[in-house]
Parts: sequence; C-alpha cells; structure tokens
Amino acid sequence: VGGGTWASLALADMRDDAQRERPVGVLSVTEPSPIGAEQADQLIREAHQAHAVRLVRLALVLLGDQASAEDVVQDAFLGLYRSMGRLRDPEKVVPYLRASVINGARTVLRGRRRAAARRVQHELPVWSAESAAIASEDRREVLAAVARLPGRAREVLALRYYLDLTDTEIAATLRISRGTVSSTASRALAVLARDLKELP
Amino acid sequence: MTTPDELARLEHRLRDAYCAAAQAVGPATVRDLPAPAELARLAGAGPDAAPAGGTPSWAEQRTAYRQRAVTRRVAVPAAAFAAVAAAVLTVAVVVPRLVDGRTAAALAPGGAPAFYAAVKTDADSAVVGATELDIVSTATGRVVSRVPPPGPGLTFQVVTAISDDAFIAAAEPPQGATGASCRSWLYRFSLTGQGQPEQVTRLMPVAGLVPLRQLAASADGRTIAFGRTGCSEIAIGSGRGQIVVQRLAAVGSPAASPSGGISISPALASTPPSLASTPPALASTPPSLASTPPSLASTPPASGTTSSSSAPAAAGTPPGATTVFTESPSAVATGLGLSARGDQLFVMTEAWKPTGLPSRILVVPASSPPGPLTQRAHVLLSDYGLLAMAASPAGPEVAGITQVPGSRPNLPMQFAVGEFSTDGGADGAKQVVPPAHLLAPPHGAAPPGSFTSRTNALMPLNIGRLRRAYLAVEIAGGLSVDGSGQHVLLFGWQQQSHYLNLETGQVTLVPHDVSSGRVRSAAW
Repeated sequence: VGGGTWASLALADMRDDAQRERPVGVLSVTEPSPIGAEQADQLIREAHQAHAVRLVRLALVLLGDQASAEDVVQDAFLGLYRSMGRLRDPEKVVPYLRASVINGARTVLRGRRRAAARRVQHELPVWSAESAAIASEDRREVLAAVARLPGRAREVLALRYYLDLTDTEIAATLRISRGTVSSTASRALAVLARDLKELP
Repeated sequence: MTTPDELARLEHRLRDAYCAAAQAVGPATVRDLPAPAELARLAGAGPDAAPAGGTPSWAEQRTAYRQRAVTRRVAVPAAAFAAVAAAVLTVAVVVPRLVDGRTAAALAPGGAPAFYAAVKTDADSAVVGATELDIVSTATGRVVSRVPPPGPGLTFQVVTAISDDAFIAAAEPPQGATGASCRSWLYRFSLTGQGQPEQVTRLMPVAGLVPLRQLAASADGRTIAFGRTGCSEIAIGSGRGQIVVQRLAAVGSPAASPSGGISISPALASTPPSLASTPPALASTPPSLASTPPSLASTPPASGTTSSSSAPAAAGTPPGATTVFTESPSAVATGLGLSARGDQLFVMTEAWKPTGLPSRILVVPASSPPGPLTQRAHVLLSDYGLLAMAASPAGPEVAGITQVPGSRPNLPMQFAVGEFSTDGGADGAKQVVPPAHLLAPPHGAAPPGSFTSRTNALMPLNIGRLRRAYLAVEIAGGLSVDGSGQHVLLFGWQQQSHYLNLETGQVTLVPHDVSSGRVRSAAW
C-alpha cells in the first residue's frame, strides 16, 4: 500500500467529483420486451427475494443505519419495476440493483450532510460506540475509520471487501476506470492502515 | 510502506468488520416489497408507463432514445458553436459598427443623437471671450472630446450641424482682441462613434463679421448661411447686417487631418498664406465682402439695393454663388435655418425694443434676388412670444420656441416648442389645431402662416406637433433640431440643456457640468 494521505484521497475524490456524482448504472437496453404489470410484479418479487438481504447489507455498510439502507433498497426495486420492460437480460438485474443502491446511498449521504449543516441528528451508525450492533471494539474502530474516508473510497472498499467484486466489476458499477479503482483502494488502505495504527 | 502481511491483516479486519455490520440484517428483518397494487402506485403507472394509446414498441423507444442521443451529441454542440459564433460575430462586427458608425447615434437615450457640439465660454482662460468647442454626451452631459482651437488667437464662436455627426463651426479672434483681422474661418468636422472629432477641414474665410452671430447649414452640406455685421463699430452698433447664403461645393480647401487635429498654419490668425491660395470662387467674392464692408452701414434701409452679387443660391446654382440679404434696420436676425437642400432660408428676426413690433420667423427662397430681407421673405410666424428658432435639417419644418402668453418676465417662463410646417399647406394633409395663443395673435401681430415651396406662396397656418416645455427661463438660449426632426436640443436656457422629443413631448435634462462655461452655441 502506498503512502496515501487524507489530503490525497480528498483530492482524488474532488478530481473525480463529476464522475462520482454521476449516477452509476449498468442497465442494458439491448433487448426490447414489452411487459405487463403482472409479469413485472412477479419478476420483481423474485429478484427481491434473491437479492434484497445482500443489497440491504451493502447499503448498511455504506450508510450505517438499517432504516435508511432498507429505504434505499426499496427505491432500487421500485426503479427496477419501472424499468422492467427495458430489462431483458436477467444477468443485468443485480448490477442494476447494486448501482441503484449506491446511487441511493449517495443521495442519503448528501441529505445527511445538509442535515448536519442544520444540526439535525439522525440515527446513530452501527459503528458508533453507542451502537450495540457490533460487539467488537475493533470492528467499530475499523468501520469508523472507513466512515471517515471520502465517498469514492468508501464505495470502492465496500464493493471490494464486502461484495468481493473484482476491480473490473467495481469499475463497471461506479462507471470509473479500473485504474481509478485500484488507486483509490490503494490510497484508502494506506490511510486506514495509518489510522488504525497498522503502520509503525 | 505496508508489508503484504500487514495489508492482508488490514483487509481481513475490513472484511470482518463489514460482515459483522452486515449481520444486523437478515432475511427476517428486510422489509418486504409492497403489495402489487401499492407497488404499481409507488412506481407510477406501472412498468414503463406507456401513453394512453398503448405501450410504445421497443423500436419506437429505441428511435426516441437515439433521437435524444442525437440531440445531445449533435444539437447541443451545434447550439454551443452557434452561441460562440454569435458572440464572436457580435464582438467582431456588430460592436465596432455600433461604436464606430452612425448606428451609435441611435443608442442615445430616446433615440436622440448621442453627442452634440457646444461652444462654451472658457471661464478658465485669461483671454476675454475665449471659448471651447466641446463634444458633449447627450446621456451624461460629460465632455467626451474637444475640438482644439484652429490656431493661436482663434476661438470657435458658433457651430451648426449638417447631420448628427457632421458639423460646421466658425472660428475667429476673441471679441475685442487687438489686431483682429475682421475675418471668420469656417471649419467642417465629423465625429466618430465615440464622439471624437475627425476630418477637420478648413472651408474658407469669411470677411467682415466680428463676431459671426448665426450660422446654418443645409443637410446636404452644400449650402451655408450666416449672419454678419460690419467690422466697424458703426456697423455693429447700427443693428444692420447681412444674411449670406453661400454654396460650398467649390469653395472648400480641405485640409483634413487624420489625427483629428486641425492641420492649418499657426499663423492663421493673421493673414495666413493659404488666403493667397483661396479658391477662385472666394477670390471672386465681391469687394464689399472681401474687405470690411463700409457699404453695409451706408446701405439705405429701404432702398432695396444689395451689396452682393445677384447670383441666386438655389439648389441648382453654381458652387460658390453667394446671395446676400440685408437686414431691416428695425430688426436683427437672431436665428437662421436652411432647408435640407438649401433652397429655403428661414430667418428669425427680433425687433428692436423701441419699435414694439413682434418677433418673426421669415422664410425666403434662396433663389430670390438679393436685397432687403423683408421685401423678399414671407412671414411664417409673427408673435411676441418668439424666443428662438431652428430649421429641421432634413425636413421642411421649423422649430420655434414661443413664450406662453401670460407669463411675466420676472417669473420662470413657460414656453412651447412647435414644428411649424412650411411645406404642408398646399395639400392640406395635416389638419392640426394650432395653439390658442397663436390663433389669436396679439394686437398688431400678423396671423401666422404656412409657406409652401411648391408655389412659393404663403398658405394658411399649418402647425404641427406643438409641445410645451415648462422650463424655468431667465437666461435665453437657443435650440437645434436633429437630423431626424424628432428631437430638439434646448441649450443655454437657464444655463442648462434639455432635449425634447417632439413625438412624445418628453423633456429630458442633460446632466449639467456646473464647472463648464455658458453655452453660446450648440448643435446636433
């Protein structure tokens, strides 16, 4: 891991700000398929049953609270329901939902920044000391350190170390280059290592 | 540096933390999707909500998508390019034209000319009677440029406009200056779009007038008229002078200066060398004009004799021809105007106070034979309230300022500015009601009339577009009509300048620079 700093991470985050704020998505529109409401409802419920838990968990590690995570996932499935007619390839469902969850998480985090500016308290994150969701002190410290990373770094780490996606998949999900994924992860790990006193 | 082991340990901690956090969420805790109806409601009309006519086909959707893509990829850059091109075009072409061309005049407030030329007394000069010829912004009243004095010992005395950006000015030694040559010098100059003088050209010397009182030019720039008196104190004091109409086409001796300065000899105040090379037309000027004209004072008032050549000065007269009219001993000319082609001369006369006669606006065809003005001219308007007059450069109309009856001299006066049509009486196209005080002229005053150049006859009154301007007037000034005939510059009244829109009647004050001297003459 290179000698990344908070400043360098923030700078990289700012440099790619336009891309970061651009909605991510991998929805393919290559196959036409008019679809009825009943069929769409059936498909969406199957997808929900298969992927909801994992998506909520992803949203949870990005957001820190389950209520917001579930809202984001619900919105993602609603979006999928609206777009069902344009989605023919089943393999695209999960990337689409994943991208929707990340976009939704960004929206929530932006709202929290605005709320923080107005000093509005939201639900405590799972990695807070007051939260009992994670018993281990070490885990809370790790997640708290991750929470201090810039948004792009948090997303890359969550996709890589929670969903175990490859850098190529992360790049496709976040619509950034593979090199950007690698460098972002490298700098984020360097910052975490120093923050968690892994380095002397 | 982080060793591979340290990195692996960190990654393990990260995965462990993520998994531990994620364990808070299980299949039983995840919120289920809403019921189908609620899901459809939350999602809108349903999957891929279609218009009322049915769900659009995939081909239609694809076509629409591609059209939007084309719009984004082609139309947006094209629009951006067009915007940039328009901006570049504006900066490169339109703005220079606006700034440097005649269009700039249209940018003045209310459509009035952007600048006017004003001869002001130079209060800072040690020379008595010294003046400055300033170019003043109509909008701000600020002096944007100054026409430099044409030579040592010469100052501008009067200025008139040919058009909104071309002027003729007369310069002469300051009044009372010793060694005066008893000559005035005429100059023509233009204004750039920024109000800078350019193409300053000396036209000719005019002998026998100190000072030159009035100056007028036709809109075509080929005819001028000026009033003059003799150089002797007797001539000046007699109140009698001459009104000269002269064709300019072959008289000028251009000496344009590219820098905007006046390229004349510094010795112009005396007898300049260029006088010896005065064009033949000037050399043929009658002796009484070339030198101090003693005949002016000796001309019998009602004899009808003239002191000039008899060449007519109509539009078709040869260049250099001069027509001279003599004033009545009882009234002096206080205003001059020429029609657009120089074929009509308008003269405002003001009677000497002991006579008790009203002031008059006279019109005389320039082709009339020389002689006493009163015998050649028609009375266009006669009124005790006449204060000033100017002809519209481009039209057959005369603007005048008349004092509203009832106002007393010791109170701020109200006066009206009207256009007195001189060419509309024949066809009777205009049907306007003249102001009441003009319909009922004071006792002893002649009823106002209208003159038509087609028949050279005086017609019933035809007065149009009379506007009243309520200004506090204690110090009399003058007026000038712009080339469009729509705006009248009122200068020198109460040491302030206004301009009047004859269409709307709106009077706008030109912000006055109190530090500047009194305006003696102005034109636009």
